[in-house]
Amino acid sequence: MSWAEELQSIKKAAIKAAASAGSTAELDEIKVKYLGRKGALTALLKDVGSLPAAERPKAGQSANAVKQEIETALSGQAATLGSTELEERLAADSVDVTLPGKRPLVGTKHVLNQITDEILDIFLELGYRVAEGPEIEVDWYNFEALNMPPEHPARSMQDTLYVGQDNQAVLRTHTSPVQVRVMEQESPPVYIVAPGRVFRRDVVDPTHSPMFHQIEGFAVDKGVNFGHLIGTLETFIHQMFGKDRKVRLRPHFFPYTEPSAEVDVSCIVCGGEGCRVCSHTGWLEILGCGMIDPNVFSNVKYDPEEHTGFAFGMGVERIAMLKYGINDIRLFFENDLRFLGQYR
Amino acid sequence: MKLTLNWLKEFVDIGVSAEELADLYDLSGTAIEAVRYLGKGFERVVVGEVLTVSKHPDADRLQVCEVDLGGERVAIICGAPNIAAGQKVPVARPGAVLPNGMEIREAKIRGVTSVGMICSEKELGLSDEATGIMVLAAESVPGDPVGPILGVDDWFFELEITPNRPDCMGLIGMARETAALLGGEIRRPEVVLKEHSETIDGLATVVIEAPDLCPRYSARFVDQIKIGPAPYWMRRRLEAVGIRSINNIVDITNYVLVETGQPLHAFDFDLLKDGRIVVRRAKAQEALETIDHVSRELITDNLVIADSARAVALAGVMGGLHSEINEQTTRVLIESANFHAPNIRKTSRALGLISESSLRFERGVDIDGTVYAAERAAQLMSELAGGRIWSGLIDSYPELRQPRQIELRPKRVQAILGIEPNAPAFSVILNRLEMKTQVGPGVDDQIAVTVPTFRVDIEREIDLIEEIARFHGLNKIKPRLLQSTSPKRGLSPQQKFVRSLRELLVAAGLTEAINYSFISRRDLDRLELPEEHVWSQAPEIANPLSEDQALMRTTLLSSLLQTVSHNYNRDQKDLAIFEIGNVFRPDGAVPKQSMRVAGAITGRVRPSGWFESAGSEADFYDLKGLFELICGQLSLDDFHIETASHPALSPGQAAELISGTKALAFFGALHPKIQENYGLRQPVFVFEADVVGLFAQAKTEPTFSEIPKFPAVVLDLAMIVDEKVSWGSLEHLVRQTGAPLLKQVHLFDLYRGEGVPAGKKSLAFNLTYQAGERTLTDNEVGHIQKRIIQRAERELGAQLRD
Repeated sequence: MSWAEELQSIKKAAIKAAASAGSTAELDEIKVKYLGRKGALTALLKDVGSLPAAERPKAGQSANAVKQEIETALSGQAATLGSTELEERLAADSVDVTLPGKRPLVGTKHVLNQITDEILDIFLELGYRVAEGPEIEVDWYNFEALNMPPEHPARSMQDTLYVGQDNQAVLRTHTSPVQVRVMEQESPPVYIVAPGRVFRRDVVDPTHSPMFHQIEGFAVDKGVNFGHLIGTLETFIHQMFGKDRKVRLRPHFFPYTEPSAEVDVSCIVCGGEGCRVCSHTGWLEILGCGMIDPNVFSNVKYDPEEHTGFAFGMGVERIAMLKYGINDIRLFFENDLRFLGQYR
Repeated sequence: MKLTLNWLKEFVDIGVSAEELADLYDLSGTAIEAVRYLGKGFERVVVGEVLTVSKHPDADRLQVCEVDLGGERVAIICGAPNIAAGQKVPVARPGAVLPNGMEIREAKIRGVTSVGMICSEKELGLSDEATGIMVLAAESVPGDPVGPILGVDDWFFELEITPNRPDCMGLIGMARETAALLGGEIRRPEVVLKEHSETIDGLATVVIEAPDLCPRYSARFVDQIKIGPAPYWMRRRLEAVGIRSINNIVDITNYVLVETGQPLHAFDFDLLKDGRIVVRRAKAQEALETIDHVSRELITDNLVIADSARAVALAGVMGGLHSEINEQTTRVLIESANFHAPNIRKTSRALGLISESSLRFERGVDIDGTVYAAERAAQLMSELAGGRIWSGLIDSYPELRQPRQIELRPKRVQAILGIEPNAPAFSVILNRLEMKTQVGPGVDDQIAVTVPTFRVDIEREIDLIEEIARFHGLNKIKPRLLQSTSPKRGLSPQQKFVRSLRELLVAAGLTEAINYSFISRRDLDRLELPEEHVWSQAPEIANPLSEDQALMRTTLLSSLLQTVSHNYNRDQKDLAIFEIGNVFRPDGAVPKQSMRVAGAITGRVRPSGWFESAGSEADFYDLKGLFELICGQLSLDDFHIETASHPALSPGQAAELISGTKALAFFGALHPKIQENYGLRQPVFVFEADVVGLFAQAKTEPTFSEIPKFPAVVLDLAMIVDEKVSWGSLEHLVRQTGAPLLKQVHLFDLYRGEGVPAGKKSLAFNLTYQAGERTLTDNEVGHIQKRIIQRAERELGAQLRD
């Protein structure tokens, strides 16, 4: 056989083999057999050197053309085989989509902290900042600077736990001491929300706990009045409980604000029709508020003629209980996973 | 303050319903604790006239009575000893449901049918005890409903009087408030005394030795008293407001107290030595037995009323037993005094003695009210107890108090309330509260206000503004938007860090707990702490309500382990929980707090299922992985982990996170003994860390580093070392030797068994080499690998595994 004949024979055999290959593995073998380093075409190409010089360029060209034809045949068959094999493999890999998934374990943030952050975020949007104070306070911050001198009748409104050397310190009974701490440190304007634990000497029952959480808010600036207080609380209540909620104020007494008020929201369960949750009044009390008393300003060296301000405070447990219909405050501190896991 | 509507109506006209009145009170600062119709349960109780009484044929103690119910005669069986023909009695007809819930039906008792029940005061809920049936006034008409006769066709109000309004702790004060709300005038019972010619002068003397604590002491004298029960209407009203009836004299003092808010005390004059009243501070350790039969030892802070021999009453709080009104009393000295509020409060608190009297004095009582109250009581004693009022009044009032004058600026009202200044309108509000005003014609003109003495709360302009607010109506003030003008806003970096830490732990599968900040001594005992351990130094609460809440916690672990145990005992044994909170340590006057984060992991940490039947039990490395996650995600810099010893942890599985020289966290397996103390039968892995310390190490802003442009070379090594050689020490050596081209060391296999001699382990790891500016050559990397192997062999006795 001449060199040219041999080339044609290799071409024929390789293309035939490629066309009849049944798998990609077989195709790889065919590729090695003809085009590999020791393959038939490669061997033939090496013989080009033994041809007469005038024939060499043409022989080289025709050999390369054959190589391309074989490669085309191989890749054509590979594509055919590939799609079949993929189909088969995909069919074998199919899953039962109804089997349970492998779910990553996720915990839950405590419901009280969820509510706290939700409330804080509303005020952060209004440009407030978050301040915190110590849970163990001295008398000055918890009482005296807040216009409750020793023997003030309002002190008996909050039964106090005492601690520290000679019982000079108290477990703070409210978050209002943060007001004093902030105002002692900086001049107006101040716009603050202050969350935290507070303590009372209360026997535990479904509605009382010796420890609970409050959020205090206050703003002191030029020209702040009671209208701003109402506007701020309405904004808060509408965001927290929905824009259809009505807001009602009832005058009250707090030693550190004057005038003072308790704030009701139209019942979030019945919408104001009257139900068991709102004791058939249609209203739920959710916070206390008022204009900061001039005596408090004097205690922190603010001039009450130049600046005015308001303050408000609310119980986080109460809001959580109303929002979710929780009927026992003790659940918050028992930390039963069957309870905590309900608030994802 | 408890009152009944009919009683209040004696002092003011009320043209609205009880419910409407309650709403008006609620929206003007007097919160409603309770409103109740007192006639509930009396609907089917009528007046009956007992016509005949005959013995029950078949029961010794029962009588069969024929009763006229007004045109209807029925037979009723009665067992009361005091039943007699001719009496008018309350009869509960069949179908009645009495105030105590008792249902009345027609019933056959030993063969005789009884149509209803003749009631006692107790059965009608009018008093706590009764010896027989209640007998009504002879003029009562059979068949009439008993409600109005018994004074129960009335409404009960319980009002929350805020501490600044002691003037509302009497009916006259509430009448004033009501009149201001409804528009009207109040009526005070007119007191006209029929005085006897004998005079109190020379009979009794009052000496105030402590005028700072007793600014005024008024007294009246009444003799020829006949002690007995007070009339029904008076007893009924007192019982209705929660005051137990004692006898006519004591009841009269209480009745006037409720009317006026002025506490009174009646002394048996014959038991006062020398007819002398001395108001003085108690002597140290002076003894006084109060009417509640408790002997009290006093201190010099306590104010007493004494006679010439001894203390006879604890001023403003409670009378003494010795001079108490008793059945033999005929001569009475009525005390109507004013005491210094803070002193009364102090005494009341210190002795744990709270009375109707102390509740009022500790808030402040009208100094101008003493004389009226004393005379009102004298009048009632004369009318209801046969008393004879001696002429003259003792009124020791060393320093006359003048009504306060306060200037009110309408502009200031505007500044505080945000309403238009309106001097005439403000003036009208104040006038309705019995304040006198002087005002010019302009809306901005300053108002001169004279404040009556009963308003002890009104001392400043702001107190007047509050009154304007209450009666203008808070809900009529226009809401306004307010945005912060402060440049400081948002969360601080540390607050953001705490939020991230919380979110991260939740995302990592832990559930957040919140525990009380208190613990008990027993909780500390369960942690098996050495006495000198810092956790044992828990600040003590001086007045805890229970032993469970006696100490401030020094670690979050003790409460967290209770949480574990609570859930474990309820069959929830796969737990991953954490808490962020403060712990405390003693520090002189004020214990110091520091914020910690703690967690506990126990049971399965990955779910079991069809893909993995056993699930995966928590172990030390789950906990460590969690720490690595925290440190990685929160970009903590500059720390390492060391073996540690901690009393809460199992000796072999305890580690610390060290930054510089400070341990910021410890973690490991809970000591088996502590585990047992909490009743847990599976290993628990715990950690606690210093949040502020972690924050200090956290990079708040990430820095950019170039993404490598040249390929990395990854090689494997497996080395056999002694069991006692830690991975950490090998890794340290490898990293040190490979620096700076060695970028990562990743342990992918830890093997013991076939091919590895006993007492040894094989550690297999990848080493990733990379240079920033070029491709590394095989030769270069091979050279480093060789040095690593040599050092490991030499320094750690390691051996290359093939």
